[in-house]
Amino acid sequence: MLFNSIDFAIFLPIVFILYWFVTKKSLQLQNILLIIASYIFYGWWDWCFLSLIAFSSFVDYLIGIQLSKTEATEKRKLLLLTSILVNIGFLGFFKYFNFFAENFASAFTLLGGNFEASRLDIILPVGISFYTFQTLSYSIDVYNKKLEPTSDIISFFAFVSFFPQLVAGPIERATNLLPQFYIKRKFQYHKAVDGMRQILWGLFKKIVIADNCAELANEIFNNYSDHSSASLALGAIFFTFQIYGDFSGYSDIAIGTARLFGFNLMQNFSFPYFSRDIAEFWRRWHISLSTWFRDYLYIPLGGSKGRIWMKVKNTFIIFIVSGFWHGANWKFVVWGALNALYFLPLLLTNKNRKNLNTVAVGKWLPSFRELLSMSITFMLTVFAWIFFRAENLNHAFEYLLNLFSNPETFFILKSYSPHKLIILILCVFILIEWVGRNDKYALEKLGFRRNKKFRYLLYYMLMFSIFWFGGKSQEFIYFQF
Amino acid sequence: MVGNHKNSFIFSFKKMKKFILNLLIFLFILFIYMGLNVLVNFIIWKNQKPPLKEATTIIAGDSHPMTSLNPKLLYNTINISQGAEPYVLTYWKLKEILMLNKIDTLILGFAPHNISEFNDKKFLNKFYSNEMFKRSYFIGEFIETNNLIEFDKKELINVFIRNTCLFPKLNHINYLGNYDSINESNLSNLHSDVKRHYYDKNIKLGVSKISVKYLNRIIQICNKNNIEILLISNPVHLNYYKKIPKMIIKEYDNLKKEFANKKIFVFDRTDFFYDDSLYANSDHLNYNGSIIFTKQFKKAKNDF
Repeated sequence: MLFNSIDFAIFLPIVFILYWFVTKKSLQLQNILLIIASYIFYGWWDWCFLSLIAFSSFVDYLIGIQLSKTEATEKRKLLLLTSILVNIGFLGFFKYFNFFAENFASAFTLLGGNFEASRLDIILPVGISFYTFQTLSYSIDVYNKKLEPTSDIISFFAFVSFFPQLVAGPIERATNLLPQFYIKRKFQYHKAVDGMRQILWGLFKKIVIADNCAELANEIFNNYSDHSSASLALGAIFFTFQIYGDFSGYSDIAIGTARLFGFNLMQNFSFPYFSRDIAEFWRRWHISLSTWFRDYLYIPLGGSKGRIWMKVKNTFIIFIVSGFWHGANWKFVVWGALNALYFLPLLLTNKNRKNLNTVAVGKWLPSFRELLSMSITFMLTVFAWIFFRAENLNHAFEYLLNLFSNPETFFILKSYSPHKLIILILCVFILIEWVGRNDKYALEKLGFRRNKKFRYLLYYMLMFSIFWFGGKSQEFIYFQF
Repeated sequence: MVGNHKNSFIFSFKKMKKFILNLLIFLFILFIYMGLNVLVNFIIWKNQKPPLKEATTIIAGDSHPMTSLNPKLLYNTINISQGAEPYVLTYWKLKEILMLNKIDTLILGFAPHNISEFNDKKFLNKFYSNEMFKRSYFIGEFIETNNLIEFDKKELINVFIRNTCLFPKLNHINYLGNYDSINESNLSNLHSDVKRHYYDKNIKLGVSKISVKYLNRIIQICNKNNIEILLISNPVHLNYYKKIPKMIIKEYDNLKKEFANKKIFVFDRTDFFYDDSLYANSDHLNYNGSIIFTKQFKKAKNDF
């Protein structure tokens, strides 16, 4: 079920009413309702893959129980290994089998052998990369004794399948989300209103920003040889805003929906395009995944401790694995490696934690230096997104060749005029984001700072622009991961 | 303890009531506003008359009649053709026009691609549907034709909301096109045009039963209103013609015979190839080509 669909607009109020009116008196009943609702939500795509979620949840639940019963290191390691094998095994099979088979065959052929790769006709289950990482974090935290394993199977199943964040995150940590299923949720008016506001802002980002940018980015990327350099640069910028609007919009809707049910999910985006360097960008982009890799991969590998080569190695590992997580394609590996290259100079000169606060705190405008750093970071990001968006590496390189083939067109204003409406919308969007950059999402403080009439007017304007400027509906990008 | 729990429950319930009430008020205002706009737009549309400029002959169809027949060379004629128009939409247009206007002749585009199955996806395909709905959100008989024509309901709702719910719009007649004169000549589009008209993902398309059905309905409505119907097809390039699937040509010839028996004038010049310089592209005529074709049509009509 898509968040921006009529199906969801019917589904959400039904679940909301059942949750707060029918099952309110029993925590167990509320959790059971959430499981049923989540399985319906997921099953709307494909019922077959529900068994996968159920199996993954059951295995990790059992492993948690077993981990609580034993102190023997070997046995505990074996249990953790089982959880990793099951979860990564599913992910590896559904997502990476064909990629490895084909690349193995190619490598074998290069060495003079004759090997035919057998391709399996596999459908990638929606959201598998998200929920496997979520359950895996539970097993690892229990193994590391950072979390008490749960014996409450209903809460655990509800935690793994919680529908607002099931298919595209935020990838929640068991330490944050699981305990919320143990305690009775109380309806809080301001929390619910805030949730609705965040949903509205998320829908605006998805339908107005992402869908409109997607139409143009798709056209330009698919027919790159027919476009001037200026147009190709715009294509890359449109994709930059598409992926941000799409993914952060999804996260906003997910977090807002969870708030309607009394849950707090972690912040997944924090105005990443206002970052002053790449390290700051990665602290603000897809925070739930970046911190997952930091805690469960980077730090266990040694992090930024040790000699230079160790830092270099760990940085490349984390960025390449993060790139590969997005899909079984070399283009994602290159995208990850490129980000590692951007990040390394900062790490090696100890400047990676220079910009920890929000840019231009307490000021209306950034300084010239801040503006310059933001612009450079933004351009580096746009450049890397070309690899992410392209169909494959060949496509990315050809796009780049065309992009720099007649750079004089960058300075011809006429090149941009066919897209002036969307450029204007993007400027307004950036302005709103800039004003709200100190908050969790751009409109968060609206309820405190402005009176009711102004708020309502703004909500109506947002709804009006969703209807008026809404682009052709596109599927959420991160569903394919 | 029990008392506290009860109080907290009542408090929470009151908050919930306030939340739902505010949400309903918010949505109610929105729906009232949108509903009023629909009403106003409907009234505007109902009071609009298609501006046919006193013409008694109309040229209708898709981009082929749009580029091949110059109405200035014909008496009291207006060209209302629009690109990619399927017969279903022509039928709805005609019904709407005839409610408020009197015409005596309809010149309708009738070429092999008009009966290809690619027309059946015009209300479903992302590439076309938005434009088709823009032309037909008030005149389309979507409910009646629900089982016959597949259409993208979500896109139809989007287009309807955008055009009727947000503010009063002064013009809702988006279904009148015009003659389009093209001065260029570029034959490089041959493969893409053939693919678009007769193939779907490299699979050959068949004859569209829906298009044939609606072509017959157009003829019926013309007969009922004493309108003379003339069917035309402009010359296409030889290389394009050679790639039209045999099945389509066969059905096209059968229909031509059927119409000839009904004494309908069919001016088919599909395989009367012109000089390359007279084509805008492989299946459309340019300005010079349209002048020649219009004159030929006029002569043939007078001889008929």
